Amino acid sequence: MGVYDEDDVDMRVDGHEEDEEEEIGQEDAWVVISSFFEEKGLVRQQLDSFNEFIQHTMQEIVDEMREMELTPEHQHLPGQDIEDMEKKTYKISFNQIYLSKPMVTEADGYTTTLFPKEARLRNLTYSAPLYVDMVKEITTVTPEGETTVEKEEIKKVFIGKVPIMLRSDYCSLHGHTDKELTELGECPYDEGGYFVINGSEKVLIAQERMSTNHVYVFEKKQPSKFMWQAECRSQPERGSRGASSCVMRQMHAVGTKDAPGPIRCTLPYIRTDIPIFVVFRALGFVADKDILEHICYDLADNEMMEMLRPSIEEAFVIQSQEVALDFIGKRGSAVGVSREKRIKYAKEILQKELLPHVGVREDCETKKAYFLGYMIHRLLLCSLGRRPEDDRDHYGNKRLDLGGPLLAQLFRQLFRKLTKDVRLYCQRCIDSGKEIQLQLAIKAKTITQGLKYSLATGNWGSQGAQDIRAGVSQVLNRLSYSSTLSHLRRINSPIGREGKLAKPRQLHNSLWGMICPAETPEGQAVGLVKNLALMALVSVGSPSEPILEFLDEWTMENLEEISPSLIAESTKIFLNGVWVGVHRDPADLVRTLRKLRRQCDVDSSVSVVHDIRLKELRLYTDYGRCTRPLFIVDDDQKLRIKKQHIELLTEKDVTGYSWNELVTSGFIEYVDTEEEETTMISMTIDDLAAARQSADRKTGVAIRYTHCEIHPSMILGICASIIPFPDHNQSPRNTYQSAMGKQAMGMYVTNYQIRMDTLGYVLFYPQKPLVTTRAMEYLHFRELPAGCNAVVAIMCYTGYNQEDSVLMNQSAIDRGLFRSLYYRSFKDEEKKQGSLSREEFERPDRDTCLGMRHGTYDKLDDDGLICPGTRVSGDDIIIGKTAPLPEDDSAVLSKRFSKKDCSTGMKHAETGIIDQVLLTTNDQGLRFVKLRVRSMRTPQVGDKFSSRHGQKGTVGMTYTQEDMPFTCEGITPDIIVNPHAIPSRMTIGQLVECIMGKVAACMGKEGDATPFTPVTAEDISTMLHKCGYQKRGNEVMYNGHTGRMLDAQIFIGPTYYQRLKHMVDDKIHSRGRGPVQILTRQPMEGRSRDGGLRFGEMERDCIMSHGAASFLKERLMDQSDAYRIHVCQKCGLIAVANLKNQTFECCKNPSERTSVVQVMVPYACKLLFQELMSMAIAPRLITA
Amino acid sequence: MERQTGGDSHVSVTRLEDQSITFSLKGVDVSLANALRRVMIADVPTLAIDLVEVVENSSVLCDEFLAHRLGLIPLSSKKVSELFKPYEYMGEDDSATDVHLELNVRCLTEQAMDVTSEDMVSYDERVKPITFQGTVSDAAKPGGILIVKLRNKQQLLLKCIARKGTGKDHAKWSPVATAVFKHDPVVHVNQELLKTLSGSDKRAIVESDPSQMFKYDADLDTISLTSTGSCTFDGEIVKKVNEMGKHGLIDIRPCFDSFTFHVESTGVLDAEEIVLQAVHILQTKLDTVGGELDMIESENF
Repeated sequence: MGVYDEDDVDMRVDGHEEDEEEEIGQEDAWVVISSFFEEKGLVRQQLDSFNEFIQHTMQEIVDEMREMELTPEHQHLPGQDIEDMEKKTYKISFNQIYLSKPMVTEADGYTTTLFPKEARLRNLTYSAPLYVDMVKEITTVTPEGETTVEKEEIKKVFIGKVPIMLRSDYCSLHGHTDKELTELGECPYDEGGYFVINGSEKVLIAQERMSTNHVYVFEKKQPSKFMWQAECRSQPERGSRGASSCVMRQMHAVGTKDAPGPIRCTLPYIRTDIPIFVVFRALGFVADKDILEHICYDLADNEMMEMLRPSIEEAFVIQSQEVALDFIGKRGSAVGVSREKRIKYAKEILQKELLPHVGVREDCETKKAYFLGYMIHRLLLCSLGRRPEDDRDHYGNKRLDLGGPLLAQLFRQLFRKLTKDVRLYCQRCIDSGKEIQLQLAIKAKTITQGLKYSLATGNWGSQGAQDIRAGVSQVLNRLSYSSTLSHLRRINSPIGREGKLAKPRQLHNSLWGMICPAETPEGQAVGLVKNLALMALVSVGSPSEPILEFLDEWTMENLEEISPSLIAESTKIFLNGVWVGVHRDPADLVRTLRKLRRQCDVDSSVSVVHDIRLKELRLYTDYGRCTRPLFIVDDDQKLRIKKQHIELLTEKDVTGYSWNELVTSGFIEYVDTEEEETTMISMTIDDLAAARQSADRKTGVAIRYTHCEIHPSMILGICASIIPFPDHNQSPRNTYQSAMGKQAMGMYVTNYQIRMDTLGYVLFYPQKPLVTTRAMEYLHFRELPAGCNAVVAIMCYTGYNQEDSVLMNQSAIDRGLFRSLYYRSFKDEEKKQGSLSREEFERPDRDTCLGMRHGTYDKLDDDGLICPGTRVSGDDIIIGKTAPLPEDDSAVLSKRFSKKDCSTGMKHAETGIIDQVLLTTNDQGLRFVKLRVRSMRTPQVGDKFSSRHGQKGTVGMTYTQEDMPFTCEGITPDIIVNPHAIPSRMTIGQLVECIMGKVAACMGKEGDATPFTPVTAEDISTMLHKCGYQKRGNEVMYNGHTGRMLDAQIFIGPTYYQRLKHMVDDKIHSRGRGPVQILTRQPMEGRSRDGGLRFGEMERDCIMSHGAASFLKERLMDQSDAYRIHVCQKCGLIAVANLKNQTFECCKNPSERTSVVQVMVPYACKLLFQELMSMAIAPRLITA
Repeated sequence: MERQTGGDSHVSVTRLEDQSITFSLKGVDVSLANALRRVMIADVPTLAIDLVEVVENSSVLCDEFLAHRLGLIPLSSKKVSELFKPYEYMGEDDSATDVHLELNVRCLTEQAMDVTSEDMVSYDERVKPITFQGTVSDAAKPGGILIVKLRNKQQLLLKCIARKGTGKDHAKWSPVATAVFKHDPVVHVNQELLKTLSGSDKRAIVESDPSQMFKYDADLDTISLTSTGSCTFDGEIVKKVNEMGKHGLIDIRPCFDSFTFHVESTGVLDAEEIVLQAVHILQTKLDTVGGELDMIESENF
């Protein structure tokens, strides 16, 4: 039952003999899920998106660039007539692009293929050179009228380096086996999906945005001037233009607060809102009836017609296209121009700027009018209360920009900059009569540096530009394997974190199956940072033309060709938000479209949304839609996939049957969030059987399913999939664990020994959990675990486990429980100083070096590096480096010293052993050192641990085995947690995990704690009873100190515990005296600087209320920044004091001996006085 | 094997093997029984590797890791009585405290090589790593304890010093895997009340006990006590009986001055030896306390 039963296997063997058409069971669904992950891996969205960028988008961007045409600006030469000269035009165009494998060019010009391991170790950028074919065409027209064309093609011009995503099709690791990967120094479990920029791993975080070309209708709340608003952010499928938005607003009727008034429309570049009838007239639809037909469809709809009355009346004065255009033109930016110009300007705006996604050519007026009419129609539907307002937070209205589109955006900017530079260079060449050398015209640095800059800093957009988005690229989290995976599937919504609006942060129904309901950070970013669910994919986009062709073939009626009266009874077809036509028999069309998609004749990521109520068929091919696979259910309420296909899958080594075949044979299809709204999905396969039965019996409500979930536990993300029995926990606990799983130590990659991570935590003896979930198989949690199966008792014992602390068995710690290694890496390079001198690794000498530190330099070898195996502790110097002092530097110092110390020391509070030293060169050919220090950490009082249920605690005390309570079998717990941690937090999952762990340990099997399975706590209890234990997991225990039997029975069993990265040794801090800040002379802040502990306002208030004045003064002044000043009693200002000669001067009059007194003030006070004095304010101290 | 130990106390050994011993102790207070248990875990001295000098280590595990693993390898500690703990001995002779062992292996094969405790060379033939003896009919093969795996051309040269110590300082010096006692149960079955029950009820009562102390005989329709050894005092059976409304049908209580001990050795010493030594150590401790008390008494008067 809970523990994997062998019966399941038997059942499968039996099933084989039965007929081939047998239904599949829930267990078979896991075979399907396995095949999904085998083919897709866990970072498919990243890889797909990047591959699409490399394979298509990049070429499209290059093609978008129209060819450059240049004509020479002639220099005036006296005596030469321009007419006499030959006319030359130059055309430069970019054609085919080529991308090679990732390469590195050393400082000496030697070029080799680059592998990620080397890039990481040597701080290189893992990027591939990009080449483009260029054509230069020179057309010469002689004065005689002869035309000669000279065409030169330059093949493969280097235009820059593009960072390559690891494990993408263009990565050097693509297509290697696990063994080869290991030999290349890679972890075979690493899934790629990130970049290596200057040696650090960078992830592009998916950015969420509202989808474009979508009509949204919103109600405006009271203070607003409008009642309803319909908006559409229009952006053409191709091209770089920013979205242009078009907004329809229904005003209040004059003088009222709730009666609808005229509708007006905001046009781009037009200052005021234009009445809609004016817009229609400007588009060439003059007659009222004509316009009404475009809006209302059904002219008998009196209610709606009535709504439009104010609008008709408002535009009554404008009754021709000319006047309408002039009306718009007057309100545009062109002021004081002639009427013709205004009309032309208005026409341009309507053609190019209004709803560009519908079309920007001249013949699009009809389509645009229909679209405008549709927007108004939708607005009126809402205004009449026939439809609710649109849901801004519905995930169907959201799009995700992944690595591909983000890079495309950047690449477009940079490529445009490059072409601009080429144009500038060529123009200069032509003007000065030089030959154009294209290789010299191209500044490859533009693209190389531009991409690198954005990826390295996370500031998206070219350097110095406005509207840069920060934090798009982040350093890949390598704390544990699951944290890495989770980071690669993260989604960010760029809404202001300060926004108090709760709505966008809340879990929405439409997130089911797409985004993990548990995994989100706590605090300011809650609900804004999300994580993809396990089986969710993101569409990369496909061209819309094939769909358009198909629709034309399938008797779709074009908008230009129909009469508006037809619209009312037929279904409108939208393709990527563009209204392309109508169809009279949509059901048939939808059926065919779905059929073709299931055969993959139409791209399988195309979504077909048939909205019957609105009479709309919406088709989407754009990128960034969240999709997920579902089983297809036939009309007879049976799954299309049968047992035989599962058998083909299980023997895939022989049959070669895989996930892809399941999709192409139409057993499974990808459904996006919007299409999901039109489906009926059964939760389990059993629900289908129930539906069949109720249909047969003709009782109850007949449910007709169209799809079936593959498994409901796939709604969870990476981190939540590690939680056993999450369906038994209070939901915030799952969220807490999702955050904590990222801090758990374990084995973050298998190649950690050859990596030089700045920080790394590795557990000595990581264990695979006794109680697992099925999803863990795909997360490789068994292979790369992060925790130990500890025997946990829930009891009060000695009182050292209060307030979320735990007791830990010292003997277990001695035996290696939760022992871990801590790695820290340091890096340094011999930087160039000017063109001649350069820093040097060596052991600095106190005789010749300036600014040597306190720490010992003795551990360094002559080459300035430390030997592996050396024990180092705080402030020891581990990399010796000197920089030459400039010769001319002012006198005294340079006489004695010729060099300055630039060494790297250990962190002040850390100790360890030198693990590895790497000496190499970086891309500039400079010597470069990376050094790794290791230290062993045994659990001790104060270290932090947590179960997998958001139950964290620190060690409050360790007891040796004999002091621990024991059961009659001699079992002593490894960890004792306090029972008070349970009731208020309601983490029942932990209790169930514990008894299942006990059963699993007794039976020598793994327990299955996958959520949404029929296993109950009662089932597990029964099994535990059979194993000879009290069925609820309680046991009689004996006090370890006294040997007495404890009054209460204790709940005890193996529970998986995680060691979190927060350890006391990294936090312990105290200070008596120590360094002070230069400016204020107050103690420094922070442990790393050996700083003081702040005596803050609240502490001050407390002491003040006690009246402990002396203590207060001691804390705030004597122990902080007490300072002695000398004050002149006459003027009250600070006097000049020479303590050596005991002379004190103030008030420039030698005859008059001024009396000077000594005053103790905080240094900050003295500082303030002097600052005030600098502002010509004299603070005088009146001393008695 | 029974022995009268003064007063009413009484020891009888029920099972004795090299590695484990089960005996019952009667007529003493829990405090004494527990003291014996604690001494067995924490105070019986054994030998374990305490210092490791790493001359060469090109394996995948770091030096600390290996040292920790080596420390946990059980060493036969028959010689322990002849040695001193490092801080007990003031003399110059290292051999009074130290036993030297060495591990010197290099992998020459293409396949990964297992380095086990059997590869260790001891300079004292009486101190040897304990190997698994395969007494349990298990799939586990007899052989040494795996220390590390070496790949081709990887090498280890470690010089180890084993020293005397007790489980109090570090669990590696603890000689026992299990040292535990429990109270013996006193079981009372009210036969009168039992007769009022049907067969299925009797069976239900028997089955309600996970430790299966009772057996139901269908032919005779009786409940019989099979073993008291498995009793855990979990109260399940009493709970079941009470549920049926037959209060007092079965009563199980611990006998507070009667204990069953179970001691399993890690292999460093024979189980019997551990118990005897523990008794001896306990005796010494009591003597010390007694002596001190006498002194205080004599000072006061």
